Amino acid sequence: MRFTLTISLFFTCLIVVAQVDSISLKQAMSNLDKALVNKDEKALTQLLHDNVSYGHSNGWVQNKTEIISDLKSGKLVYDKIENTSVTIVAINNDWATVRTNTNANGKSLTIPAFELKLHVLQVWLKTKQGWQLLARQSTKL
Amino acid sequence: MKKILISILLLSVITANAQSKNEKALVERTYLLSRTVFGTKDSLTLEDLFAKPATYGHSHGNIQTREQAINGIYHNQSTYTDTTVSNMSVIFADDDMAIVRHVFKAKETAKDGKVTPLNLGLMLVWVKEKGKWKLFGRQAVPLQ
Repeated sequence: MRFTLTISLFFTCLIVVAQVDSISLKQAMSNLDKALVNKDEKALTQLLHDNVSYGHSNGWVQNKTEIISDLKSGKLVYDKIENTSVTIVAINNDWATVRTNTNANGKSLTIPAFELKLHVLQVWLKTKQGWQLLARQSTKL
Repeated sequence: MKKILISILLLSVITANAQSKNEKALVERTYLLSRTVFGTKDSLTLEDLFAKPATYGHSHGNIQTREQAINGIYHNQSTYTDTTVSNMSVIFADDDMAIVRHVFKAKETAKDGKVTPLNLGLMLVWVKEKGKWKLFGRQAVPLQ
């Protein structure tokens, strides 16, 4: 009896921890979207992994320095980033993969105004600084 | 002092060697995946390559589960010629998880004989399970 109780307590704890993790992950995702729109360099530095690889729907891939400098220079800026669906495919103590459908509006040097409907695969790592985006690839829906 | 230095050197050589072995295995699995998806379409190899929770994203945004993807590849009646894998890059999250990016180009011949050029960017998420790299996630994007 005590054994069963211990076991079920253990699993309850696991489930609770996993739920807390997915809440903190969704918070990090929403913080990143806000930071991209607001060109918040401090938040971006924290939320983007140093080795981040950020792939766009035209095949272009940015690294961390480029994401931040391109926001500053106006090479690629966002007016709105909005997830219409979020699926956490997997989450554990070290990393998570997420798939989202996302509407992104903004402008680039070559496109005065874009409105994109995207599907996105994201990989997040849990680090000492909290959740950080390691990789992302979008494609047009 | 000398002993410590030699030990450190030896250790870093061992670590670097382990890392490059890990990367070599990962790159081999990536080529095997490409050859299987666009070549042999062998379902047993696909079963071995795909992790149980794998999700497989196509360039037009369609997402498949492991079962759907394997079934789709196995029954794909197109053939691919002039296939090239290029611009490969690897980012390790840790020893057991890594992101691989590469470009895939080919000529696709559909069942009806129609030929279309294929030019894709691929992002692959690999996770090591019991010493073997397994495909955990894949997202394709069309390149211009």
